[in-house]
Amino acid sequence: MLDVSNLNVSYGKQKVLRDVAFRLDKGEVVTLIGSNAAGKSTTLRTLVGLKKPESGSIKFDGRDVVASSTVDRVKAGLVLVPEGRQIFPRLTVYENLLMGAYHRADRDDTGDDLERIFALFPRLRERRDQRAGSMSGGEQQMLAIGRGLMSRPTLMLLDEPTLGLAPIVIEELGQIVRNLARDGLTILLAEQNAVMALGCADRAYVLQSGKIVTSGNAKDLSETAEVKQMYLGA
Amino acid sequence: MTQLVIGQMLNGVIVGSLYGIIALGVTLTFGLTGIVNFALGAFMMFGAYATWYLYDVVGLPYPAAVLGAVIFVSIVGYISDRALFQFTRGNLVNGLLVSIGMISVFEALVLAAFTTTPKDLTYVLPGALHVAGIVLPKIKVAVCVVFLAVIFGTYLALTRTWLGRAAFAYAQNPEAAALMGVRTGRLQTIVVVYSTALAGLGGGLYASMYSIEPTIGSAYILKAVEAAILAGVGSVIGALGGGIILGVSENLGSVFFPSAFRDAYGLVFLIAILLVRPGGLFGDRP
Repeated sequence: MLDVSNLNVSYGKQKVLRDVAFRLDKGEVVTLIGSNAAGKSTTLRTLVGLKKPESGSIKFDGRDVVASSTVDRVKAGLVLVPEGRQIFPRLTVYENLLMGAYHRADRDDTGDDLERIFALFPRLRERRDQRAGSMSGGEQQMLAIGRGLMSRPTLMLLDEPTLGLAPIVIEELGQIVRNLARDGLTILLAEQNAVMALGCADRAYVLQSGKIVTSGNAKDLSETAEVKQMYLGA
Repeated sequence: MTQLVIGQMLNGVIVGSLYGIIALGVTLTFGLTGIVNFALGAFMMFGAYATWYLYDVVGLPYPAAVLGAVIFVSIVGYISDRALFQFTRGNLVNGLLVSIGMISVFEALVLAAFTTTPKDLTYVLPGALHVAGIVLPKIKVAVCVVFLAVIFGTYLALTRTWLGRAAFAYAQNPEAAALMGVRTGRLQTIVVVYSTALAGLGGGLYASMYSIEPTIGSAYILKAVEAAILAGVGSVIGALGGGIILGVSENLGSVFFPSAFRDAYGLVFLIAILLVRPGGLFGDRP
């Protein structure tokens, strides 16, 4: 479904990604783990076209999308739930969710999608008409995911959803990601929290200083000494 | 005395709604492109002259002349956006320089075409309404109603339509809006042009009440920026409210104090408000 090869990205003279390559099959949950500034966000931002790569290819559903605009990629089903939630604080929860459907041809008929999202996140229903900015971090993260789902993704990119959240909320979030995957959504999860990420994912790639250093089955990877030491705090 | 105070209050509301409609353009343009378009005053002046030309010289009926002027100003707005403003997005200083330069160019063009002699079409809608002993000139009432309708309509469009919601969302978080599939460049152009159209409408209606000269825009744009700050930049209803508060305080101020300092009364009010609410009166509302 997604096939990334030889991706090179720089900010000015600073090389942020070097020959990054990975792939994702339909229905998989794949995680990209790495510490701060390893290049996880840059990878996801490049995938949706917020950042232009120097070289490399991004094949999505067999088509190279490097030259297409963010709008076209979103329309094709490549949806990013950005780092730090990035919800619209002065819009209500409901309006935020509607914004997710902005690009859709059937955007005036989203009742079913809303119901599905409210069923997934009952707290969003309770806070439907509340300003999004007044909610807690966990609730905002759920809204960001809900808004992403309103875009009808075929591949959802989640950028550090656990950032700044309490352990109990992180656990809840892991459950949500597993539920979404069970319902058939393909997910690429960029995470610093390797415990949460490896617990959700089928496969994992480890990103270090802009390079993919290890990859493999999530379960196996969580047992290797290197990952244990660096990311799982063991 | 009652007649004077109420008359001045009404004048204040009318002038204030004119400040408000330009302030609305200032606020929208700033929210979406990050620049303060000081040329909106010149666009207003363009609208006034275009209305006068279409009405007096071409001979169209007044409403058609105003409509024609709004269309003309929008086209000029579109050309300015494509040729100039699109290169100043998010760059406050460049935007300021470009818009101030445009004022000179626009004023010089009108000066060359129509000289400094003031133009007048104040006989569009003669007569006055008498309500409970208060005399209200019909034209001023009509103008005020149109302004209020347009500002309220803009508010509804911003809160109830997809494009409006996208604009409001973009102002809060440009990148997230792009991630929702909003075509951000096009959205910015629409808002820049809409703001010039509002200023053009303001000018067209201004022409029906006061005589016009090439320099009328400068006082109004300063007041509009003042109103936008007073209200809290980014608030539609605030832009109207800020404009009216400013208009009323100037006009009422000049009933009780020397009218030569009328511009100062609004400013005193502005400073007082900012001391209490630094974000402006309506700083956190759409």
